[in-house]
Amino acid sequence: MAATASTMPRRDDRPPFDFSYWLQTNLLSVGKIITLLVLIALNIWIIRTGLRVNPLTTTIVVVLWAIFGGLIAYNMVRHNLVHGMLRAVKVRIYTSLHGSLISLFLLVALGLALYAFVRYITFWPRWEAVVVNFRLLMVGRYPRSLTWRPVAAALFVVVLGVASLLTWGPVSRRLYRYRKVMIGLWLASPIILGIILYGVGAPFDAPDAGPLGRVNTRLWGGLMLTLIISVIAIIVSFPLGVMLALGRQSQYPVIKYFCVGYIELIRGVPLLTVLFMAEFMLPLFLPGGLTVDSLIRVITGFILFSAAYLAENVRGGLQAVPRGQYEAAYAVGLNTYQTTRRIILPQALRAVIPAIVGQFIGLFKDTSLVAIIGVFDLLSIGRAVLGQQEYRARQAEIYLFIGLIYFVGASGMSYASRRLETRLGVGER
Amino acid sequence: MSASSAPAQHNKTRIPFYRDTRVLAVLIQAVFAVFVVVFFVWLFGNMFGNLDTLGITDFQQPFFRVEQVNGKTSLSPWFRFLYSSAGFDILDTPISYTRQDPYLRALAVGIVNTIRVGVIGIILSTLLGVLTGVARLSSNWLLSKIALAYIEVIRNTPLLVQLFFWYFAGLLALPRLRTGEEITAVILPGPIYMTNRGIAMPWIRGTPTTGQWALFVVAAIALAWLVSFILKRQEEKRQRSLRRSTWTFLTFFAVAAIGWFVLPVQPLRIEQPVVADTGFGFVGGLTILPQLTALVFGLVIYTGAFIAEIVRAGIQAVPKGQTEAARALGLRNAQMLRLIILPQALRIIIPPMTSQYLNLVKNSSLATAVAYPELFQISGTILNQTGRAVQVIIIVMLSYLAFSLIISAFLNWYNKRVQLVER
Repeated sequence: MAATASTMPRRDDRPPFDFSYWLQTNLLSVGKIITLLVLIALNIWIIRTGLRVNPLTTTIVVVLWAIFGGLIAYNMVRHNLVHGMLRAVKVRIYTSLHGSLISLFLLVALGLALYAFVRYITFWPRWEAVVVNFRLLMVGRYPRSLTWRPVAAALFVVVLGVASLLTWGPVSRRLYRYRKVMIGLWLASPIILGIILYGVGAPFDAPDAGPLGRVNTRLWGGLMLTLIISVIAIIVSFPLGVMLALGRQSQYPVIKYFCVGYIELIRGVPLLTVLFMAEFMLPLFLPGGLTVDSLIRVITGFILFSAAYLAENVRGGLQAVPRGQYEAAYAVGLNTYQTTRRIILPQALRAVIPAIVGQFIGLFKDTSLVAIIGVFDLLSIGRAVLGQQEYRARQAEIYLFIGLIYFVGASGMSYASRRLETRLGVGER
Repeated sequence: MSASSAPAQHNKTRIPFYRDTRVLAVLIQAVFAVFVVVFFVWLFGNMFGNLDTLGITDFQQPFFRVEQVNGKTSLSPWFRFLYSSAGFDILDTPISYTRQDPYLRALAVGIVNTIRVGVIGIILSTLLGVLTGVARLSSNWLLSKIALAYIEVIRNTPLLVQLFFWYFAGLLALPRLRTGEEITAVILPGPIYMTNRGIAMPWIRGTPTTGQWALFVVAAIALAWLVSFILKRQEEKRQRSLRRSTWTFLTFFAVAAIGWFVLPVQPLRIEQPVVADTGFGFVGGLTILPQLTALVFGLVIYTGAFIAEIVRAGIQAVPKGQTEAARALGLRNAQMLRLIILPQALRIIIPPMTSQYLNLVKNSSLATAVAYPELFQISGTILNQTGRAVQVIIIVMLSYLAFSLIISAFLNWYNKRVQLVER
């Protein structure tokens, strides 16, 4: 008890509260008085609105604000000191006279918004549209009897993801040697996913034959399709982007300007035009009679688009590698390929992990654009659900649900990226 | 002489041509170029073949040939279709357009609409982004966390989902203007009417004396510039502040105000929207279409979140010593932000901001989702009607490339101006 008392700031040693100084810093200027009046008016407006809309919450918030404000003001005037939990509240919420009023406004608004939001999402009947159509939103019109295949594909990706995290993670150094296997599996995953979902081995005239009968991509849809487009586009565009970046740094002008032209052209136009090009012009570019699955066309569009942006990110990393690294590599007798592969790329890529992950998050979000060209991804299926007469009024719910899925995916990726950064020591070495 | 050149000669002869970098350079580039050319020749050969089978014969004709189409001079048979009558209506036409006008005119409408969305969007999203970025760094915990929540939620969800949400769940879910005889629109003070057919608000309208007042404003600008110029010379001469900006603004407002009160009729007036007698729409004021509102609102909210992060990072990148030095000099918070922090942060902020502006303009192509007739949506209609996929996509791509180049050229010029000139 005595020890605590001695470590606590001694109230009696503090100078008394300087009221004139407080006035000077908080009130005595034309600008401050005007903002104060504006803030008071805003607060009166929101509290009156709040009392009309939701008296209980508003009253609770205002009373709490007044109690804490009063306690802090009392302590400040009496002892010129606030400590403990009250201090934590003071530095965050009651920063100054104006700050306290801003906080009051925000608290009342937040109270009203949160109350309305909780009431909104806990009214279950409105989520019926999502619950009833859940399967449609997840896998589209994939045959009901074959649901195990999307599930298996999802499991494959999840297991591969977890295994990769372990391999690069802190669990055991002995797992490090499986990194190459992991990279190989990731590179092969488009084919593996294709086999699981599209099927293999069924003869042309009997698509359902065999354990993995053919399922036309027109039946694919929902979140599954969104993920397939993102995963394949990410995996394929990565090596292409690195090659474009290296090409842009090339000493050979022909290669360099080809890459510069490609990158700048793609970066200068909207993704939608690239997707339109893939959808309408790609069939024209192929020899007559040869048709390509619409899904492959779309994915090609994403790959072409993503590679250009990725190339710019990787170029940033390449430029950040000091010249001495090249010189040292050549000095120890490595050739150009070895220098690039062993010395330059590892450093360049490590430096731009945040940018690359940001780019992949962007790609994941951008897959929603296929809804415009009529591919049944998550968003497109959502729109189809809203096209049904009985769910027409559930616009907000469907879009909120879709937004939530994207939010979880994108936040998850950025969380994983931050982990990877610390693990690889970006900015430390 | 001969002794020193002999070994060099000797070495030279021993390098086989396939290890000579000079030969290799030419060889590699030649192979690459041949590959690229062959690839493109193959692609375009296929394309021309396929178009022939589809019955589109544009490309069999020469690129340049002057012809008369619908009374207009067409320079290229490839793009001759642009002169035929469009035959579709456009929802929002800032320049005059009827369905008899050629496709070219429809494209022009689309380009003007895209520019309009881009300009409004860039201005508003910059405002929102800077405010949120500063709020993110506020010492007020609540303000900073609310800004953080906004930034995270918006940045981690697709723009298209947001646009659909604002349009279908927001603007189209607004009540109708009137149900029966009763007016059911949401009326905000102003009055601003919010209906599912658009938002009507008061707007500034010109009067017969607007032109004369414009002369006063020009005079005001000229006089203000003169005052500013003289005061600047005086300030430099006397080495003390004469409140140049205050006097400059005062001069401007004084002259403009004299003009305002001297003229017999008030040069500008505010026009209120009035519900039309027919019961549909409004007379007077400004009615903004829900499509345009959703598009601009969605783009501003989305881009604003990205700009906020850029602004935050830019401000945080200004060394702490600058803040401390400003405080030591006795500057107030606002002064410190305006005079010390923001000018330095600006240098860091501009390059990423440029790419956000470019993104905003490119993202405006998503207008097609809410059926707002900008460049991309109108081009889509033209593509569907004429089947000229190749030409239409080329036109659209070149237009967006031009937008991108103009914006980045302008901002690069500005960037050069604000960068530190280092010795």
